[in-house]
Amino acid sequence: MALPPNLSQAEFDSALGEFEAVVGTDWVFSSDADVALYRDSYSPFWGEDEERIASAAVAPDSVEEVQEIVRIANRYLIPLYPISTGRNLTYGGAAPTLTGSVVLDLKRMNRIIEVNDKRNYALVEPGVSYFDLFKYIRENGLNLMLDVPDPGWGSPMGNSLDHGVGYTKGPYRDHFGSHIGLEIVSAEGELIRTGAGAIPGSDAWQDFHYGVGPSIDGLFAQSNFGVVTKMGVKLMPMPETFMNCTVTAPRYQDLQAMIEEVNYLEDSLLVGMPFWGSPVGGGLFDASPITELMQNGWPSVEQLEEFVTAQNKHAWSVSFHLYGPEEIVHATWAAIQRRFRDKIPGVAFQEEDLHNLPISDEDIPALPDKALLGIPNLEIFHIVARNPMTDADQPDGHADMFTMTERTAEGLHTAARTLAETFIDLGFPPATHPFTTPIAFYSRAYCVAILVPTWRDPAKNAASRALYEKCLDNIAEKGMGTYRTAPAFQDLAVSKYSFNDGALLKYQEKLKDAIDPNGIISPGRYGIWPANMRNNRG
Amino acid sequence: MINRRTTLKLGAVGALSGLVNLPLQARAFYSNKTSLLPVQAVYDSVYSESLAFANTMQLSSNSNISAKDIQGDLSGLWYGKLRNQLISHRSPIIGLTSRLDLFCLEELARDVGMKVSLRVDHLIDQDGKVEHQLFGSTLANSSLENLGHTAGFGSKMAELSQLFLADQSPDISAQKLTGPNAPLNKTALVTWVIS
Repeated sequence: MALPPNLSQAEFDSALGEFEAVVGTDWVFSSDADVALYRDSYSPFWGEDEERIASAAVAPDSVEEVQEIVRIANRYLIPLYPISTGRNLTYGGAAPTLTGSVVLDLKRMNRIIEVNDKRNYALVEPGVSYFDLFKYIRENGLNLMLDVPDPGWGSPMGNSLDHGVGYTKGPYRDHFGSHIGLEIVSAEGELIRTGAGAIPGSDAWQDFHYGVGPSIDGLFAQSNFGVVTKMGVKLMPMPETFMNCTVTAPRYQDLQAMIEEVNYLEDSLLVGMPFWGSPVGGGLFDASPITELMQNGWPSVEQLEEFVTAQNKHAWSVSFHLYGPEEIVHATWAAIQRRFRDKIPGVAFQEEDLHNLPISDEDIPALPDKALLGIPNLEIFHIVARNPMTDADQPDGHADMFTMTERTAEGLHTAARTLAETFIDLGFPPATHPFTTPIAFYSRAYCVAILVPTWRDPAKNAASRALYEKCLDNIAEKGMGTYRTAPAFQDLAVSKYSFNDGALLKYQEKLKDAIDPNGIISPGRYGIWPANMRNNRG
Repeated sequence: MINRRTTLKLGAVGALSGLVNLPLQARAFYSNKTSLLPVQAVYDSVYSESLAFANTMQLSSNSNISAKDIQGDLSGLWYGKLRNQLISHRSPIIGLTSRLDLFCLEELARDVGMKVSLRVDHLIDQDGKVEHQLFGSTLANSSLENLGHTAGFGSKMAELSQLFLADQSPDISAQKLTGPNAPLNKTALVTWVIS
């Protein structure tokens, strides 16, 4: 069993006893079997010395208990690793960033404090899952739609605080961007509320985000500056109807014009998440038909246009999800068609049926894309199982990397080509190609996704890690980085944000040293190590 | 009555007792007591072996079985009834499902402090030949010797269920053994106990 750094077994036992005095003996977990529950099922270091392993877990039931646990941890210098549901599997799951940390499991803090469908928000504790909130909204007949990630078994708080994303309209699918108001237990056990919540007796905590003066909310996402114990979530009023519609463009070189038009629609808040595709290239989880075309290197534009012509299909597609009153949905679709027809010769259009919302419980199971309507589900596991990167051998998990690019065809193609060449250089089949399409999780940036397999086999994991790290290196040379990553890669990913000799990280470290002088909250998370552990970096 | 304003004020001044009486929104966490209530048996009627497992369980002389069909929607089962039942009375669950469904259940079961204590992996190749492998138990090892390598193991797993449920050894070798995916060109089913 792992121990916290620099602590003897006797000292640790003493600390565990103090934890038990706060939360009760039933809620401190130190047996091998209990601690094993907090292993990262997708760890790229599974079974190796570098796998991050907890020493114990403690599950408080209240803010006051969290405060006391933090104070105890400070006395013993025990690193804590707060989790809500702990199921962010490709990004570390419930496992800590530093071996020997005590997982602060906030699952018992599962109160839905308020859901308001007149001002359209919810106020939740860490242990509330998307499934819980969805069920609450349905059972209480509230006129609200969630924005959920895939899979939906996580928590709004946990997902938001890791910059997680969803699938509906721009303001809502950036989950941290749609939070409103935090309550935090600081690293020294002090209770803080942000925004209007800092005014005693305020009823506008979930209405007014900023308060007055500098907003500190961003310090608590992808970081280790405190323990968030409450979070407000902006919610979309349940739309009256929903319709999916698709635009396709014939030529390879039509992409930039399509992107510009989609940017207009997205930034004007006229559409939900654009879903990009390529009828000739296949999707993220489809086998690429252009492997043969890539055998002699990245094809020229002329070769790609010839390929498209030979396939007798359109080169690109983008689907829009339109939400709102029926007359507005139809009018928006008419406007979309007019705008595309004016800009790109030969475009084609397809619309699906209009659906009245909310969908009834009986009709939900048959829905093909539940997440588009804010319905949490676990169906993504069936989809990812078909990842063509792993056709030859089925992995035990995956480490995701999303290369962030500007919203241009050039940016997209640069990312796709850089990743493809990296894969080929390291002996892997390319996961990207000239018809790779972006994912628009963030409304004003593109993600180019790769899922690097992880295993229960150390040799295979070593190869996967080398691939992932080389991808990070090579996209950084093109001025690109990732937006989220597993603990195994956080130091490297953060190091690429190195403008002015790493000024950003140095600033974050100054804050860390001031806010958490004993370095007890999630040391090393997203590359932020406390002063007494900076030699751990890398 | 405790309302939002009262809740937030209490949080600010550190009075714990007022939070206990939150209406409706608050859910009591699990009672942390094991129970003699019915054993939950989980199956997926998509798979014939799983269906046979459930049928044999229900036909057994032990009437203390409540069989639940995933029907392709594990989240509906877990968040619908199963989790709340385990919160109220934590009792062992036994099942024969796909590897993917066990993977998800194992992650979800941590919410109620339960873990995979035993699993038998059944890998079925394209010719129907089955390989079985047991993890997390020494008591049950000999019972698998006569399992054979063809169809029909589902009902046999049900017949062995009492043996599986009785084995409460602290061996953690069955935990997080694999990811969710089946090996290439094979169907991966698992008999398991979560306790």
